[in-house]
Amino acid sequence: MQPYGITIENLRKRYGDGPTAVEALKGVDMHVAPGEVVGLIGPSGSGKSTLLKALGAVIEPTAGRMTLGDRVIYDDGWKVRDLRALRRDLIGFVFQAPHLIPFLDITDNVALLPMLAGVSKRESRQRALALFETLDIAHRATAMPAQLSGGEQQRVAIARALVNRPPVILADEPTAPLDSERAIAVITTLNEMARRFDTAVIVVTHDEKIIPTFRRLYQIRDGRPLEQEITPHPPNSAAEPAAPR
Amino acid sequence: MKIPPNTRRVLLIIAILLPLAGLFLFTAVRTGPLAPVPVTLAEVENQALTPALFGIGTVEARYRFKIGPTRTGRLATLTVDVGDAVKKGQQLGTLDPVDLDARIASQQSSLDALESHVSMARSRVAEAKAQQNYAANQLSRYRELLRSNAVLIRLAPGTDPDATADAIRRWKRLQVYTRAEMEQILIGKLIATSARQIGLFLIILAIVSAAIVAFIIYTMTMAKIREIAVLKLIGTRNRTIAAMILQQALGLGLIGFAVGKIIATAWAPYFPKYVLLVPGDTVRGFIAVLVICTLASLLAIRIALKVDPAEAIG
Repeated sequence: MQPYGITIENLRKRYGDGPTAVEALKGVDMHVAPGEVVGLIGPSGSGKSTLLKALGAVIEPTAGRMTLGDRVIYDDGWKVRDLRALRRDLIGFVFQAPHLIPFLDITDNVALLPMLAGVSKRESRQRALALFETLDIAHRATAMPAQLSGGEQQRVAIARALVNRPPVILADEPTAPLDSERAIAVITTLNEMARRFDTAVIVVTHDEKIIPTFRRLYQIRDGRPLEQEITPHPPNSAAEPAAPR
Repeated sequence: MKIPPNTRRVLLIIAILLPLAGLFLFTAVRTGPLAPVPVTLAEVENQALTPALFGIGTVEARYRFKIGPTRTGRLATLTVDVGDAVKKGQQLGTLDPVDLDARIASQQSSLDALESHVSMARSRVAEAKAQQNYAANQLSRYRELLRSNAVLIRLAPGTDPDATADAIRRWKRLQVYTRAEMEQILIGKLIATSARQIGLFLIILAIVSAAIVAFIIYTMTMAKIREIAVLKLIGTRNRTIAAMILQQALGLGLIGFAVGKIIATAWAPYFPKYVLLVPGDTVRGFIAVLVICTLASLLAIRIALKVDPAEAIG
């Protein structure tokens, strides 16, 4: 087991009390190593979103233990006082839709996060531009979100998730609105970035076309994940992470 | 013997006509054409004849002219007689001016009276003309008054306003106000009423504007609720989100203020009633816009702050 990344032990989440209570997570154990991208699949209502929300520190689990990077954030109770700062500094989020702020250009969209953490605007923009170079969208740095294609917007969203160098990225259906080529390109980018920045990435997805790109896949059924090793990789160029640019 | 009536009538007519016929015959024989012509017999003598003509007649002028005086009077002298030859321009006699002086005096007095009448009539014409001018001036003045409702009188230096006002009140029965009274009326009534009306209008306008801005900001915020959830999820502080919404509302207000100010400045001269806006009003209006936009954004900010960051996931 890697020392850092994401570690979840016996995580439980129950909604409601008494006979109507619903146990969404029934003792989840999971580990994602730094630089690793794992898939999380499962039918609707299986507990994927609950797990993601718990990992994202937006809902409080009922019991268990969570470690993000080198910090224990939950151990039968929050171990972090400022969950907002926790999300800002330790977790990157990528969503189904990019959800960029429409009235800021993409550089400011990305620079917003370090600025929220107290980094100067100049430094924040430099970080954003450096990421754009890596993600090959530097030539669109001054564009407004609406001027970009869906794939480009998603790359901006990835840059936003990475800009504070979090140990963990949670991606919720990041390829749902994209075609196969762009979907695989996004996953490839996530793989590259994970390796480059030693970030643990969990991708929740229903997207069949990207499932073969994961080395490891967690399938949640009835609140419990079943780990599944996918070997060998299918003959898809995107399955092997491309070399860092 | 009895005579029939017809015979008797014939006999009666004959009895009347016979004497008449006898009278006619006697007259015709004695004095008429049948009467005998007396004749004188003389002895014829042989003598020499001397032609001579003797007669008695009346001389009459071939042309007659009637002459007479143009004025009545007694004839004093007559220098010609019947049958005298006269020439053009010759004085024929003289008239005695018995009452001429009296008549001249009478005529003179009549003339004087008439002249005085003429003079009076002229003065009346002049007076009528003066009245006409005055009436025309009054007409023009009242027309002007009808349009203007009020006349501003500037007094010569040293004139007592109250005395002038009293004089005008007695003279024309007009409402007269001195400067002090007018200021009191304007401030106490007209301006105060207008100020209340404009104030009420501004309050309604402010409420409506606030409602419109609030609705716009609310709609814009609701359209970005997912983005707000994402911002909260990635660690954005509530005050940063509130500041963004406030910034948006103030931006709208600034644009609205700039457009309104430009339009008001450009169009104001074309409106019948001019509302004077001093720079202080612009500043106060600007502050009011900022306050209205701030208040209008409160609802949207409240909703944005209630957004659960978990909504960004799933």
